Amino acid sequence: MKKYGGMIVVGLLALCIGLVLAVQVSTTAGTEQGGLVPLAKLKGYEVALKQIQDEKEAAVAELMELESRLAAIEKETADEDVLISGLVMDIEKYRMAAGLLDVKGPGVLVTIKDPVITDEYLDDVSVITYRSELLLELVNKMKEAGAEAISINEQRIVQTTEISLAGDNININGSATAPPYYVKAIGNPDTLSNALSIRSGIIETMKKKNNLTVDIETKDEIVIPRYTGTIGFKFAQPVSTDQEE
Amino acid sequence: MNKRVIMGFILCFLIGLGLVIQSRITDGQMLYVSAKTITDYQTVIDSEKVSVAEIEKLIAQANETLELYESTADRSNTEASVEDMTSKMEKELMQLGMFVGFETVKGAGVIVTIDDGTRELLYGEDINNVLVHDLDILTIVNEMRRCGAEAISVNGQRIVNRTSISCSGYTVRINGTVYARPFVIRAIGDGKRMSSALLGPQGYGTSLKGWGVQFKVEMEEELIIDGYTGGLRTYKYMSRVKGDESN
Repeated sequence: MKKYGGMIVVGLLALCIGLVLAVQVSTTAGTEQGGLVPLAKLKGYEVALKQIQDEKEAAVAELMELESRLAAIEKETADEDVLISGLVMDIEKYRMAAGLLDVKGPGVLVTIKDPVITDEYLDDVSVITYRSELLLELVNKMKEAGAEAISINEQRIVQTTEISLAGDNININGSATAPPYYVKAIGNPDTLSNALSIRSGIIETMKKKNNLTVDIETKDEIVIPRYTGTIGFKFAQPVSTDQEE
Repeated sequence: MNKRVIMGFILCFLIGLGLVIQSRITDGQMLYVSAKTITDYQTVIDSEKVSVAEIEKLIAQANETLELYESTADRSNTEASVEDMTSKMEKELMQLGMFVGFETVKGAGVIVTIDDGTRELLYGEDINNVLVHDLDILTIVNEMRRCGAEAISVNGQRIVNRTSISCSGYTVRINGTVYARPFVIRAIGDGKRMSSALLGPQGYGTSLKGWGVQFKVEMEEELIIDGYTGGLRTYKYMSRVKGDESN
């Protein structure tokens, strides 16, 4: 018995070392970004996000209030002045066309998620982020199918909207976005969904060639937010016919 | 005997170490998320901050306008004050018109010309490699927007909010009008930034040239981009969301 005592000790020793190693490896495994992070840490980020979203909501509410006051004054004056009443109507129409108003209507919601993690698709590589042209193409196809308003992750697509890879994220309207992507479009729901899901079309390309998880849903009512960026021109000047007169 | 004590000591030491590590990583909750999730959260938070800043700018603008309006109201609608208001609104309308793309505009910018390649095809090579596609134009337009282009047109057709660019056989359809090669893309904006983005080592123009497609960028002191002639469209599906549903 005494003969095997040493062996048992060594055996236990080896077991423990193995255990420690396994634990150690599992804590630092995976990515160069630092591996796994306890969920508790995420809570802090959730709180911060909630805070900033509340702040944004408050700011939007303030803006809406101001705009309604402006509209009231404009309307009041418009009742007395024909010129101003014409202007008020034109501004309203242009704002609608420019994407400066919140809109609602029937349409589709396309949800794009990164591939389920397998050996081939590692966790820290976001396929959709590095194939941002897929989003660009999707938006183009939606416009072709007659979409009247489009947004990606609540960023309204307007005349100046870019969809481009900047660092590790896709920038839309100059602000960084992260997956999953929710693309909303208002238009004829059937036309939109059928046009997008045509064989070897954009949705199938995303699914089959890029292994993305893509869902397309038709909705009776979708709300698309306004563009919140500022409008300003540094290079362009109007060439108006009035000036030449 | 002495040897066994040492062995036992090492064993206890390792078990203790294992326990400490184990307890440290299971501290609090048992669940873990990947570091990517954290970065994604950070990204969203940062972008929300940017949009709050932008909204605050809009609030400041609205306040300014309100001040102007209220001061005109004080003087009980004399002719001059109404004129103030009118000119302010006309200015806004002009800005909106430029933004939407209805106004003809001029300014410094670039002219990009792309055409199908003329090189000999390699044996068995796909002709598509040297042709210009809708996605090429779309990518160039997107790249220009990224570089802050303020107005863009393709073969004279102004690119507006709802413009789609799509291949239909041998031609490309833009705003419902059909165009064939060559494609001339004009953009008003920071010419240096746009041309260097397109022609840089990672630029899209450089990669097109690599395929054999003809690609040329010219910087212009002044170029004119025509307004969109399609006029305002009527909307069949979308309607405005009012702040208060009562009115």
